[in-house]
Amino acid sequence: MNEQVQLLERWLAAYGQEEREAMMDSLAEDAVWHVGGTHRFSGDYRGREAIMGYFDAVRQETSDTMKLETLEVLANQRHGAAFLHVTAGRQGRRLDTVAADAFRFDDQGRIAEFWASNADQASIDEFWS
Amino acid sequence: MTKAERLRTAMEAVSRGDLPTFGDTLLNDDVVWHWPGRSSVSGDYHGRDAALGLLARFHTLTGGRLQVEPLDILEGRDHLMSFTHITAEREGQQLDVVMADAMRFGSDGRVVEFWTLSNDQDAVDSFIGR
Repeated sequence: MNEQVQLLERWLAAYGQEEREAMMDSLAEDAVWHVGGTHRFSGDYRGREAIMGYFDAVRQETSDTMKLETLEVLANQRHGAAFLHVTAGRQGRRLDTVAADAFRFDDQGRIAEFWASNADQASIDEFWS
Repeated sequence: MTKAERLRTAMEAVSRGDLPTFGDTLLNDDVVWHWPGRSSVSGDYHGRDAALGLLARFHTLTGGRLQVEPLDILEGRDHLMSFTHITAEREGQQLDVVMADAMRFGSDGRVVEFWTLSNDQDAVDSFIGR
């Protein structure tokens, strides 16, 4: 298994266990996180602090119910991919989708850019509405 | 044929304008293609014919104007992601994005689910047209 696959798997584990330091260490200082759709969290988050703030907001809104089940992680030195089964609950609503996540790494092997697509964007927009 | 080889064969067919060969080579009959954003082609397309209809519309709307630079293909057990740098110019409007085409393969070796991801969806939407 290559180093960048390990980095993404560590990152996903850190997200699941809410290990903030480990999450921060895997992010470039000026990383950009693109969140698609037309919901309350859609938009670009620039820099570690903004990205961590986004994760905190998602955690709060879902009362810590969001779970990421890894289906497959792929990576080389420049790019990575994660295919995830995502579930969450919020105000009696249920989210259950497969997400395809794309990553770009900087020359130190940290996550510099993230963008994603979901199997059902309309249901995600509805979930966050 | 590996997943990456199948993708390359299919993309060569597209570059010749041969969409039927693209579909036969790469797509399962029951493929679902997710195109995000708020453009005129955004949505979910169910089945090979619908997916090829999406591609035909995309090519009509952007045809001949896109410069496609392959960056990386990541191939795994069930999935593949292909990264391309896309640039284009039209009437003073610039497009400069990285696309990531994400695919899940079925037991017949063809794609059963396809996601088209962009790192600047608004730019792609504007270029295609809303």
